Amino acid sequence: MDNEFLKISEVIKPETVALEMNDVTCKAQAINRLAGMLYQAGHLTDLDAYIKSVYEREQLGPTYMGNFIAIPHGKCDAVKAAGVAFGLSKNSFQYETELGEGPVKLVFLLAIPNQMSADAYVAVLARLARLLVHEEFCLNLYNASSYQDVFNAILTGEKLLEDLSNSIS
Amino acid sequence: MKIVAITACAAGIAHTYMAAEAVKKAAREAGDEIKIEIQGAMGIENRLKQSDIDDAELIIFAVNISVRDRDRFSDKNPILIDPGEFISNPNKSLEKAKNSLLPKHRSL
Repeated sequence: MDNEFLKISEVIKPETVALEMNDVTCKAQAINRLAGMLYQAGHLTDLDAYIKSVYEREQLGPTYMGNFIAIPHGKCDAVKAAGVAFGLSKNSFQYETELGEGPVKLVFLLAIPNQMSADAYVAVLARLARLLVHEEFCLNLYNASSYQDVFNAILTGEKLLEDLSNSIS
Repeated sequence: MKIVAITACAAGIAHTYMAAEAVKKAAREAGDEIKIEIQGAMGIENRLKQSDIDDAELIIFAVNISVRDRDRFSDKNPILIDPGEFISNPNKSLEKAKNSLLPKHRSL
């Protein structure tokens, strides 16, 4: 099911990666910062409407995944092209949700156009979730010092997932 | 060891997939044969065949909601593990599932 859908490596851009988020001290700052980058990179028509959709999604269930990871996301009309922003905070910041909170170092913020099918939307999330289980992938992200490092980590991770799904049914 | 697993999570779409990947990863590292059914937002993915279920030496339910089509497992002994726990500690959780199985085998 994976291959027909969007890959993170296909949508991530240098303008949507922030490796120095150490000044970020809370979830709202992180989301504002990453959403701002998606806006600057031309993914959004309306920044405020998009941020609102991210918080609406947050109400539905936690996007804090444990292991220093959060994957907030928003799907709405204000998204004109699917996008992914990535932020790294080596110091970590507190990420609070309705069902618990924890320290976060890796944040992926997804912007999903409203017309994207539910299946494609879930597939993007699923792929990212699968990637984040692999320690090598997370380690590569923790140690990233350039956009190229992040991009390579994602490419390597996606390749690993493909190899795994070919070898294990 | 032949293992089948089902993942399903109340907490959200992504957790279900993370749990599936965690089970897969742990099984691969332990040299086990694994088939995983994902009960997620898109319905049932990679649905297990009855023969897979019947042949399995270990059945893991990495779920915190009820399993759909539970009747396929009516005479089985699935080991229940929280998906969040599997995500945080894949190898330990798999080990725990195997250990929960052992005493029952011994008593047979």
